Amino acid sequence: MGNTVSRIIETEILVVGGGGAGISAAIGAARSGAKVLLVSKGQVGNSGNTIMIGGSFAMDGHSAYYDYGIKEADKDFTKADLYESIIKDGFYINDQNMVEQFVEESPAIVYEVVKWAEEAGKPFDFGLPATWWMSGRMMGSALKQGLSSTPGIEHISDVAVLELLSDGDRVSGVLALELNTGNFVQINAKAVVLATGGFQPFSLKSTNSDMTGDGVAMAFRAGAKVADMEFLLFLLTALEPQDIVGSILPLMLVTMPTFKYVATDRDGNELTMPSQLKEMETKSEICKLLHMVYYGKTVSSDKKTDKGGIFLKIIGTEEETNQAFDETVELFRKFYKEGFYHHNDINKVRRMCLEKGTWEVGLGNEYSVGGILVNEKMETTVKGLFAGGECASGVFGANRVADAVTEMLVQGYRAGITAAEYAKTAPACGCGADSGNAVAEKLMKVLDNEGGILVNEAVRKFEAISDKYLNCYRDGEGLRTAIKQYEELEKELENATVLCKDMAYNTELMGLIALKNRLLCSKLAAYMAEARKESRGLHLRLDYPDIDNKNYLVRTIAQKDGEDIKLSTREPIPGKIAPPDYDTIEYERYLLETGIGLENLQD
Amino acid sequence: MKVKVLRTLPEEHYDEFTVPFPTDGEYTIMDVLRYISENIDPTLAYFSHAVCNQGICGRCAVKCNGKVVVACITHADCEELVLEPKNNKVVKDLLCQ
Repeated sequence: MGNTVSRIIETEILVVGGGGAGISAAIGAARSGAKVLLVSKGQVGNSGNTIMIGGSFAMDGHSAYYDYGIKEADKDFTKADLYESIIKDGFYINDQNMVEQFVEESPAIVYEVVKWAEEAGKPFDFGLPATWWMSGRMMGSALKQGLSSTPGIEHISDVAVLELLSDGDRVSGVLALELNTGNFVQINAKAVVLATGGFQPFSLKSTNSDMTGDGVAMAFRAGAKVADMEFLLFLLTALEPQDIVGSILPLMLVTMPTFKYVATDRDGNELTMPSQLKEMETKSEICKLLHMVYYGKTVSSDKKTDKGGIFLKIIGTEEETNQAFDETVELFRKFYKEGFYHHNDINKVRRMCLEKGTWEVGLGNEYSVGGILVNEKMETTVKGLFAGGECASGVFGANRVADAVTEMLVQGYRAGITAAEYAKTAPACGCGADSGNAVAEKLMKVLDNEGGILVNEAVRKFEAISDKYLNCYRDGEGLRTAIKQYEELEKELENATVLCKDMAYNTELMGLIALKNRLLCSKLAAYMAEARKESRGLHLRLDYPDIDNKNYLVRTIAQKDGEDIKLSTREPIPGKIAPPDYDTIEYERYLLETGIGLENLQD
Repeated sequence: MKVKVLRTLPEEHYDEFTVPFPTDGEYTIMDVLRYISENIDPTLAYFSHAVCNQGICGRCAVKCNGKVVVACITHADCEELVLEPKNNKVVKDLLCQ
């Protein structure tokens, strides 16, 4: 029988997550002298959103030039510039100790990863101000190079961590499932680092399918505080041609100055944005926010296209459009097969755009700004538990423009070091097999359910609720409906039925576990979004369109309270940048007048 | 299109599914597998837990009409597909180690 723990593994530091944050954490911990086990639901170095990168990461140009001797870097772009832009782009609710950590510690780890890429024989491509371009596979290779050159780390792939185990008031292990065998494994550790990435509530997918919020959900269930989950970043995503649905290639095209287009709704009505902001589209990743603000309302209304998006109507000459596609091909030629972005055929899209004159695109959810509440050392609010990367929160406030890639590396590495320091004085884990068995047996009971909702049907229901109520633009009534429907679905899932009773690679059971975590994260996001009665950053309310600093210049925090959710707020941790001195401001005026938009795209 | 899939439980056999996709080269084999799993038979095991869907990770490879292909970037462009595991280290159905 596989319904009890089949074996117990002992380690000092357990890192959960096989992407950039997890690998960095493992290396940080091992260099601090700890024995490390890295466990990944997918394949280590070949899973998570890390491999979805088709872009760049960066440090400030000043550090690149003076500290690392990179003479091509723009030395005038300083740490202070980066710091200030992260706060402004984050609409002032960033914890500034987190921003300080990001800015101060990122050059070293960014430079090291650039070197690993060279050692792996797949060097990144330099761009200004101090940016490196690469594919996700190349980032995976660089990280695996770092991993294999660091002694003291064991790693296992295709093992899903299901729940954190506690020994008194501290986390001291996990219960995990080996996906291929269906065996339960208990891993005892002095410290656990979560590096599990974000969560994705919607039907349109641009992310890896393992973005299911496992770490955030587990941390919450173990009593940790989570924050800022109402802030979800969407970006232009292909809805056609069918074989590239989910690709972010449209975003790449619209950042080319020669790709001249206007966005329209289903009836051809133009969706405009002020020209000053339109100019920023090709210079800064703030374009993602601008697309949400100016196109998102259509996507959240009955003016959306049949596939749920908008049209990009090409208005440039054939020559200009060809040039835009040529430039896109050129940008990616160094690390993809010529003419491709990942495996998307750029020239096929070119032909379609030239022939039809339009491209149907949606807004796909790429990144969760919120997550587990941590401090600048990546300590969560629960002893023995640490977190870094997308599953954590705090550095980017209400909106991310600076690199999530840099974030995963710099936070992961710090989380590993802090966890190793903690483990030096922490007592050995006191968890017996009983703790793991209890969790495993509870999960196994699902196999006895009959006649309840099937997992696929439940996933469809869940995504329909998210698509309708938690999308780019929200309102109070919709969010309250979402909460109610999420909670009803949670109840329904208690009797969810899994037809396949064999535990080895049980697709339905894995889907159910993932759904429960996605559902919990989305429910928390809906609660926080309902409570934030203003618009700020990536949180856009139809019923509260202005930024309200008087009441909401705060982070929203949730913690488990028995079976309930306890919501609270707190002011962001102050630092070098003073908070704004005005109470309310129209959202568009903030965009136009406060100098947001870190310029981080190539000319 | 007709899709024959090698199944391993309770013993090795082929199941046949009808999938209402046009064969004009737009849908991928991953779309076909997902359609079967979501609409006809959820017990089908295929690589599903960490899918990039853009030909990046290469982990969804299956044998299609005798040839090993990456499912998420290979078009399902014929009237009859025979899907089998990519190697002989089979975990379940189409999923291999």
